[in-house]
Amino acid sequence: MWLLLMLVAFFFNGCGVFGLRILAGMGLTETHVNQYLLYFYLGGFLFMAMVLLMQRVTPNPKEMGIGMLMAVCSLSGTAALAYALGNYQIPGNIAFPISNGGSLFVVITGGVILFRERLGFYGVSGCALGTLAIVLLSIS
Amino acid sequence: MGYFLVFWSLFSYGMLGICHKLAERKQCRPQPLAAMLMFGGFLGMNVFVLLGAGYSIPSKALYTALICGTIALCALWAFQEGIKHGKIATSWLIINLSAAIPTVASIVIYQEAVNLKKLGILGLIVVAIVLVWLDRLEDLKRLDATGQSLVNVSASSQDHENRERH
Repeated sequence: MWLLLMLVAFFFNGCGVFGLRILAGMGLTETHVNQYLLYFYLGGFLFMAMVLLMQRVTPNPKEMGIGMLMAVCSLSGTAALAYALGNYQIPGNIAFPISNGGSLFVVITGGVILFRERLGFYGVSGCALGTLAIVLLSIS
Repeated sequence: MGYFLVFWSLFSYGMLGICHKLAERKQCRPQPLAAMLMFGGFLGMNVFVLLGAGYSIPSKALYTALICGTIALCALWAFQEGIKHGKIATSWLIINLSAAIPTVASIVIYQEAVNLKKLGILGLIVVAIVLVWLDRLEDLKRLDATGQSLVNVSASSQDHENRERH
């Protein structure tokens, strides 16, 4: 079940991100990326709002708080990276590997230390290879 | 200041991953949580748009954004459901590896050049996913073994109690 759900998330997340490549293909990355992201979030919210309305489900305060905190994390990460690249001329082949590879390392460490998750030999090898792949992909 | 911002983004994305697991531990439901994340993102982006060039966007880009936002929401939903059954460390790795999809799609749709380096990275991604899947299988085997030994302990203690009664 876990692998199936993760593969669904893997595929859909990749397809969602591909929208930015489509935007670049239209030549709008320099001028319309903020508007694109605004409508991106709006599209997701409207779809889920309809699902919740049909199921008559309302978010509780805990879900509201953690959901908003996650939104702040997501936006502040994107904005900080964009400012570092745009206003401070940090090269992309340095900024992306640090941000992507580093955050993955933070989450793996957090999982092991905070949530007491145990990684076996395969897990450690997979995380090491995966982090390497992400760093290489960011550089390329 | 530039590097501080890069490390700030590292910290922010890391916190995002940890919040996913925290939400699961606090028994937040995936659907309302995903809705709130998207709503929060929409509210936040309003600030950037108002400070910038305004809300207008070509219609093709608008439809792309709405569709891709909906697809990303489904990813978020599946991810939050998935971490109920697995570890955040390996789950977050898989979601990060999804960067392979735009790379492959760019090669197929936009005929971007394929080189040995890109193929090597895609190979590494496949191997990494297989390895974390094997890790999950090891976990399941361990859980099965623990469950079986608990059943054995419970059965033998029951047997012992029955013999004492007789």
